[in-house]
Amino acid sequence: MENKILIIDDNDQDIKIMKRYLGHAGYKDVVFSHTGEDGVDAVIKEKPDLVILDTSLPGIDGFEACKRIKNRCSEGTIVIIMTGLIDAVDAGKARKSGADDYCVKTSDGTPILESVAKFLLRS
Amino acid sequence: MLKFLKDTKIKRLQAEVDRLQKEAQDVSWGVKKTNEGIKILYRELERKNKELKELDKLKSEFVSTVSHELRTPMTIIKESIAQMSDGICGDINEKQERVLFMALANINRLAKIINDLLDISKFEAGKLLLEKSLFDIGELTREVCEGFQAQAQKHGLALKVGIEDDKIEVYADRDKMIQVFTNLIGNAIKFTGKGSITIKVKGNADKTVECSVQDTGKGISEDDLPKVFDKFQQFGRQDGPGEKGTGLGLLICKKIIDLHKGTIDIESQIGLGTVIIFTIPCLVDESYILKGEEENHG
Repeated sequence: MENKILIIDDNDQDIKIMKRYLGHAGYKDVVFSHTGEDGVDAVIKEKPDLVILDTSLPGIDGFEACKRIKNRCSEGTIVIIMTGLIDAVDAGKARKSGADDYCVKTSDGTPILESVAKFLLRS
Repeated sequence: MLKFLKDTKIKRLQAEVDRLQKEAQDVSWGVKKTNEGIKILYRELERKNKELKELDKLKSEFVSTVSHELRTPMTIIKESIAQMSDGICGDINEKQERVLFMALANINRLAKIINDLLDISKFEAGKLLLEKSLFDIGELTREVCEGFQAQAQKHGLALKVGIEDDKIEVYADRDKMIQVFTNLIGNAIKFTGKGSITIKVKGNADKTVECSVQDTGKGISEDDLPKVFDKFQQFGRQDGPGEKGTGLGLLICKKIIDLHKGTIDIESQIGLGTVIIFTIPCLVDESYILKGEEENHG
């Protein structure tokens, strides 16, 4: 069965770019949400294999959303937190909130794609 | 009872140790991930920097090629119009003369734009070398100003020249210094409605020569002053007919002065006018010429 990926990001442009990169890499089943709260609901409804989560979101931030996904939904859902502003404190927070990986957003999306491939191939 | 209390304390301490261990692991994981991210971003920055440099080189080459290609036909057009205007190709009436004069004025403007663009692309490609010689900068200033007297008069402006020393020898690129004065005086005339343009040259105690071009024009606002030496910046330009610049003149002046290891500065006040002051090293002794030649050749 094809892997399903959920992108939670409030920036439409970033979602579009990420969807395109994922599509090129062979991941066609991609859904998205614009807020942390909607994202958590989408995890329950869509049951994605992997979630790509932005740190800064309207409402609850990416770390809180990650915590809720891991606690309330399924612990088996892989969560990759992505950020445009790399920061050691945030990275520690990401780990504490249960994130499986913490990646920097780049113009070619390589770090996130590599992380997605690492986890989905493993599962 | 004592044993129970002891066990409870040990358990609590063990839990605290576990918590701290987990915290340390999280922090360590965070630092590792951050380092990875920084490395990735650094590589991306390097790649983008390289791409930008290549693009900039391509742009400079493009500008240079296009400018060269434009210069040849433009010279032919200019010469043809000049011949017609001089009556070499037959008699012309007053109306035709006016039209040809306008065409020639615009061709000259176009020639200035193309020459400025070529200069900038040469500067950016690092291909512009100075051809230095020994000359009296006071005398050169007088010569350039003489050439501007008619234009200043036409604009109703007084062109004043003040050379403080009898002879101020500099070892510099004569043509480039003419270009600097031409740009600065031309600009001053262009943006001064009434009053005067004052050009001063004097030797400084720190073995530099200081030249200034001061006008009584409209001036440049404090906000715009830091941008005057940027590319394609024009201030006080008026719409409609009249003389227009390329917005490259001051940048070219700055590049020329920089190449001479000099300084250039601007002071201005709205409504009062503008003064541009530049300095270049004076000729102190002949070893300076030898040093200068070594630097010029690389």
